[in-house]
Amino acid sequence: MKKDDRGNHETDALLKNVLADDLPLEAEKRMKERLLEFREAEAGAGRLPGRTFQGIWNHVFRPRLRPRILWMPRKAILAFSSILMIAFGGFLHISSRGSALADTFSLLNASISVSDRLQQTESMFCTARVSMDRGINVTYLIRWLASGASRLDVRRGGDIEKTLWITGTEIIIADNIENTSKSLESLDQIESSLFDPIIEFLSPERLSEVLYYNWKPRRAVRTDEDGIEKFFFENDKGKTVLEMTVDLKTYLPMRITKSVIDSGSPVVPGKIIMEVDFEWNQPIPPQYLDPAFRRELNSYSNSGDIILNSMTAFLDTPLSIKYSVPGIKEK
Amino acid sequence: MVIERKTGGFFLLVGRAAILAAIVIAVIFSGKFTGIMNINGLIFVLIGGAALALMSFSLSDIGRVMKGTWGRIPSSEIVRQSSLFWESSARNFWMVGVLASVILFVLSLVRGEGGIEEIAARMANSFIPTVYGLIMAVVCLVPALKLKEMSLSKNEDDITAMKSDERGRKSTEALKFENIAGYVVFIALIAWTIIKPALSGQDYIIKSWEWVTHWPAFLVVFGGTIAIALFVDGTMIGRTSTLGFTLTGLIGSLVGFVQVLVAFSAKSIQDVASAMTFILSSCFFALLGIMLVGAPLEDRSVKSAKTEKHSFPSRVAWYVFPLVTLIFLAVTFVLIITPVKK
Repeated sequence: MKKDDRGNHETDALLKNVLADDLPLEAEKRMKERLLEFREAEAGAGRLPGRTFQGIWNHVFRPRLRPRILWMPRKAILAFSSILMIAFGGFLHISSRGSALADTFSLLNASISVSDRLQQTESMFCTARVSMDRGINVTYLIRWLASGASRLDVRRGGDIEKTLWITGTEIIIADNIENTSKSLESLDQIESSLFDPIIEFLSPERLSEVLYYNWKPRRAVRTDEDGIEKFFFENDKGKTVLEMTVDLKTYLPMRITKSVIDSGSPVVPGKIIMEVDFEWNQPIPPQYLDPAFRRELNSYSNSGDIILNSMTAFLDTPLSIKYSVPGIKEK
Repeated sequence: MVIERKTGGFFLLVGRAAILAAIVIAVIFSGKFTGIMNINGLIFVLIGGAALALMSFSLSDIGRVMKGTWGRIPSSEIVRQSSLFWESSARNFWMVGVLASVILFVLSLVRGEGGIEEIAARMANSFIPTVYGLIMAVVCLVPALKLKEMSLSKNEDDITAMKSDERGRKSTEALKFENIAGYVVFIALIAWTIIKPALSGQDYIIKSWEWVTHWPAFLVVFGGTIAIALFVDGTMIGRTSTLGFTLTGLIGSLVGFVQVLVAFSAKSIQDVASAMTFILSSCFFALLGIMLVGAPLEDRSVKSAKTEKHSFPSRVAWYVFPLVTLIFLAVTFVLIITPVKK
């Protein structure tokens, strides 16, 4: 081979290597983008470049810039930030007890649980203190058994003014001051407005229905005591706030407080107008809920006062230390 | 070679649409189906689906698609584009339907009107937008399947023509004004849906945007997606983001679900509620990421023929992850209305 031929071969090989068409992907892509821009520029020659909206738009979002815009921060910083985000997010979730939405979840579920548990109780002993007009306080004492019998005593001052019995078959309302009684067919026939504040507490079923259909859940507040939580509701008329203290071990209310809504805020309780305390599933002698006990009282007018005083004393004594009646299942 | 299709005629199409519209209006005004009506959800699904379509396709693309679907089809490339458009629209409506259900579910939960019974009814009603999204998805899937069948029957000349089209199209398309408008409309729609209740003076237990700013879920989903994108480090950003959001959303949801099970066995309703919030927020952010980032990028990549078609993992993510979200939403509803047994 001649020396010149060898040199030509070498040059030929060098040119072939340099001008090879198997370019790397990135290089090919960049070349095509440049070619496209050049063609666009040639096509747009004669128009004012960048002075039209489309021109400005194409310049800002030109393809060549985008990869740089997307990857401007160094990958190492991005990687570190992403790991930090994951770790911090996990830590926040584990360490926090909840969020506003989580509290709303638990408020609704607790309300439904309370409403459900109320329908499964065996007995209810409820004491309600109501502030009426002109500073008069009235105390209502309600006893209820799962058989459907219940008794409501209305006390104003030291006297039991009225008594209401509800059995499966009859409703009897007695006026203990005038010593009269009458039978009713339904609670709608009660004329006295004295019973109005307490109607929804007459039985656990009523309370459960009112809670489920009429009271609007507002917020839940955890107390310092274990297993006790307070729930705030607003009634459907938007005028009163109900604060219900619930025992989370049984999901039964321990106390309900009704307040008027203070101006502006629906969940800031204002003046308290009713306080109701509950005891659940305690023994109540069935004969105590029997209206015949009242009729018997009438027939002994001389000893009536003694019996009435004994009854008042009976009502004042907490059930838990009263007595145990044979045959009554203790809960 | 030009592929021609016998068209039913413009007037036949208008007639069919008019009859369908008349039936729908009659159903709405009959009052028989008020139990499954959710006007806000329907508006959300329609506007959201249209906005998502605009993110991926320009108005000229959509015009070509409409011509390709109902008129003369000049080339198999238009058939391919049309099939892509309808398939993307089906996917968009399905995802928007589920997203609407998530948002309306939470808004119904925190709305203060009515007692527990009304709140439970509103929560159940919030699943209706998913039905609307599914119906619209089926409507869009029909032309997609028909066009796909047509594009498979192309001849050799069309293959040559398609290849030359592809070569011309392998350049990256710049974002157009309508693409940006699509993003703006979609984000504005979500923001308006969440913020409007607070501004309208309606009664709410908590501010409606308080649940959106659930930082643990946000950090986990977006941090995880960035990590996956960096790890994969490919050029297919759309595909990577879709998979990243799906996987992180799924991981967040499953971690939350395990927490729910543990808290449920311990009968701690507060912990159950906290875990359910994490699940819903993870699903919400993951869906949002897929719709805003992953899906439009992959659509544009297929449209410009950088990739031949949507990847199988992306398809699975688009159709299965919203279904998983829906299941978790139903589980949340059941957990809320089920009383705790002591």
